Amino acid sequence: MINQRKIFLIILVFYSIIFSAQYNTQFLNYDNIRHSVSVNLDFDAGSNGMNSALINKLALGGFISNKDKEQSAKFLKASNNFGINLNYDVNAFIKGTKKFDFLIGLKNQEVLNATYTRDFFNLMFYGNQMFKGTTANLAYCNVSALRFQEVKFGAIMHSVDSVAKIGISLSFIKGEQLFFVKTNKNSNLFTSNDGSELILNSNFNLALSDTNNKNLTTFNGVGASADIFFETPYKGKLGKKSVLIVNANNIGFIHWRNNSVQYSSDSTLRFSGYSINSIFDLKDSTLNQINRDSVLRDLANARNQDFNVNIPTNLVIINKVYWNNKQTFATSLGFRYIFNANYKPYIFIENEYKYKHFTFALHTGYGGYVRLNIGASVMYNSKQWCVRLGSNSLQGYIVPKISTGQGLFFSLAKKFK
Amino acid sequence: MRLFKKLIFILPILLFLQCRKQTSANWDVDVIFPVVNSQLNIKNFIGDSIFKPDNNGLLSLSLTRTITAIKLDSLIKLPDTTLVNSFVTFFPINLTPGQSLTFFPATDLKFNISNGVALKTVEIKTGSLTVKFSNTVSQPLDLLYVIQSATKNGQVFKVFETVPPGTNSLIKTYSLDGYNLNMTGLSGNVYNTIAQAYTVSLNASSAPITATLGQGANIELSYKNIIPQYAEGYFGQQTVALPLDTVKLDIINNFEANNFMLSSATFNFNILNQFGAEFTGSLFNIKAINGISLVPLTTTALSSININRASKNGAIIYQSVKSVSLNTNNSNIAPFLSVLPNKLTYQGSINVNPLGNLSGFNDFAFFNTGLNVTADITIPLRFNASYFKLTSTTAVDFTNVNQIDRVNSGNIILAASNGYPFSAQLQAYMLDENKVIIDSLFTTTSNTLVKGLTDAQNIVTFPTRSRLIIPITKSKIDNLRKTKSLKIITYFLMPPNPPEIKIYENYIFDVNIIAELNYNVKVG
Repeated sequence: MINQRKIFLIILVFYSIIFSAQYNTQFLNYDNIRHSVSVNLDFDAGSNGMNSALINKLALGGFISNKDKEQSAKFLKASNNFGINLNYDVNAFIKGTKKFDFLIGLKNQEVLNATYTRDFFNLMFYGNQMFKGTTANLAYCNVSALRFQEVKFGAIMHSVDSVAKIGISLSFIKGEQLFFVKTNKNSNLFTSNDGSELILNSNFNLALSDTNNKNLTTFNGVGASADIFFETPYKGKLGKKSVLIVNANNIGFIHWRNNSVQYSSDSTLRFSGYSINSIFDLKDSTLNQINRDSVLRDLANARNQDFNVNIPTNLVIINKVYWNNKQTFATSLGFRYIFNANYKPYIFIENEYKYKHFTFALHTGYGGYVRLNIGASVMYNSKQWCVRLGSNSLQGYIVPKISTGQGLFFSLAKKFK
Repeated sequence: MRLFKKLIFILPILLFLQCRKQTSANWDVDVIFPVVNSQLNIKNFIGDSIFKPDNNGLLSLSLTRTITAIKLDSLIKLPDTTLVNSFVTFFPINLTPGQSLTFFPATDLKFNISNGVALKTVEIKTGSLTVKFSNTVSQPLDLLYVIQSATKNGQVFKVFETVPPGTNSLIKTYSLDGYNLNMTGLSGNVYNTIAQAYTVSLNASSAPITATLGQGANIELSYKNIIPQYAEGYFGQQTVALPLDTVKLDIINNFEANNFMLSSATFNFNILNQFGAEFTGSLFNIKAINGISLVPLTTTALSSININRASKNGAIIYQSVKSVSLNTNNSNIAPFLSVLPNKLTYQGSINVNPLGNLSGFNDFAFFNTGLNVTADITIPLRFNASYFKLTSTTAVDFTNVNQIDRVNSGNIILAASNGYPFSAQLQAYMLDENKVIIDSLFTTTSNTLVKGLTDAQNIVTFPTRSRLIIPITKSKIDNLRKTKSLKIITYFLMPPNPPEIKIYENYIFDVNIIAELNYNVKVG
């Protein structure tokens, strides 16, 4: 296993020469596709306390065995992060004026991220039997799951001062699902030795979108967001040419409508079972008391009301240096941060090499949901078509049991004049 | 147009992406949580019976059951009465419109009431008068029938009808509901008698006629189904038999006992008399029945019971109460009740006004009141027995409890502190819709809650904690899904050759039910 990891690292460093990754924005790809219609898929998942095999199961479905859990638990620290982003969209850059092109697009975004303690992980994946006679620490955890769709309209000014680009787009958002829970300082769960008593210090806030409507057609929330893009070349000390790119997208919010539910609790709840009048009275009505909604409503101050939630805002800053006049070799140094998403600052370097219609890229980064990321991509770019396939986190596919992240991006664009 | 082409390209891809299969991850967790936490005592096991502690905390089972009731209609029946009156001419006569056929003076109508009953007042709750009219002259006749003794809201009862020619040419029924009958006749000195009067005349719109000998009107009056709301008079000296009958007693439902013997018990017969008349009575042939077990009651206390009359003030009745207490000194009541009867048979007779007309025709009775016989049963919970068997069937439906589907395996743990001086052996059978047993919950090696620790007097000094484990397997869960009712059989096993068992108020079962499950969590 160690040899396998070493070989993988050597290959990645060797090919770390090109860049063509995607960061949840279409503007970054404008130079490659210009006037076109494209479909794009962008998936990345990672955790600094969970291996890729487990994340795969969480993201893609399937049974998580005890062996899966044990292997993943080796990565656990006192506090851990976790995140999955899945976006897919259809975009079109439409020819506008000499200075402007227009952007129109439809996009689906799914975001799941969390910060969790070791006990939270164990409680979630192993249950509370292992905590018999002890207290599980659940403080400062949060889980946020969000799914929404957007219609995007924008424009890119591609000849600012003849060389710079400025892009901006606005989106109308349809909120589909939200689950958000955040525990505070004193949250913990005590399980008595014989299981006859549970004591929950329930210092938490929880928000749910309309639980009765959970499909694509439901309109549980409405919102708006903006994307801003700026790119300018400049003459630096390194290389033949440098380009600075700043992109911020998903700057916005969703207003969850009044069928949404908020819960909050800051109290000690002791549960030792339901009271019955007779042992012959253990009817289904007693058992039906034990369902998720009623228990939650019993525990917390539940209220139906509308509220606003900021969507995770994605910031990417890239400095790209072309090393030769033909611009076939380039290195990008970048920074990425996702606000409101339990994301750690992410620094990356990408090298790219262009050969005829093909561009090859290798990516190395540190931070985010994972610690070390290594990725690669390839792009075919002709006059008619542009196809890109790659990943910023390949390690999770190659050695999923000992690594903690994976990603995939794919783009297919049909170009027009 | 170019944009349209682009959209054609976009839409199928969008549809493909949105129709992707929803994913879901699942894993197994080991959870433990309390389900039930209750303190149960004897009251929680034995239906709706009422338990009362004495000064020492010893519980007694107290209950009241109605044995029999004698209502007004058992004493007094106003028989259906029919009479025929003819109003004919005895010589030819010319009649002009409006002219009376003849004059008929008011007469008495006596009801033939049996058993020497002599009523002076009856308020009718329900009843009817049916009149069949026949007219043998060629023109319509007018009939006016007045019951002077019947009044309602100050108005006397009247019937006025125009009778067309013909036999039974007019048949009508009139309600007597709410009428007050003065039953003392025209003279005011007789009983069971009402006063009535008739007038027959040629209808005012008719043509003049000549009535020949024997022509006129015939009237058949039928008083039917008269039920008194109130009756007053003398109810006679009569004997009302109480034929052999069975009454449900249900001291303890679903309860069987083996070698059970009570130490003591009391059985109070209470006879509540709401009639304004004296009675003597006797109850005999009383037997306690539980299945095939049958114990006759031996006592002389019920052979001659004198019951005083009730009194009244307006419509308010002050009932008289006669109590006959049976105890271990004057009867075999302890073995009688030790059979834990669910039924009781009895026979008896009631003599009305055994000393004659002491009230001077002022006996009274209201509808729906009467002579009620109840039994107050008190059983101190102090007994000997080998065991009790308690059976209960309760309907369940687990089809909507979705959580069960995701249970892989585990145990339901029944942990209980038994504070009673006897052990409890439990079993719950799962029955399908045809009441066929498909499975059971408890294993035979783990189904007994051990009795509490007792002293030499068999009084519990310290409860004993037992832990019964119900294994939950996939097949058991499948069977639970099919279960429509649970038949729970509990044996309360007494210590061998024990001294007397006493049940005190402070005895309890402290019950915890805990689920210890391997559960499949599914997300997405």
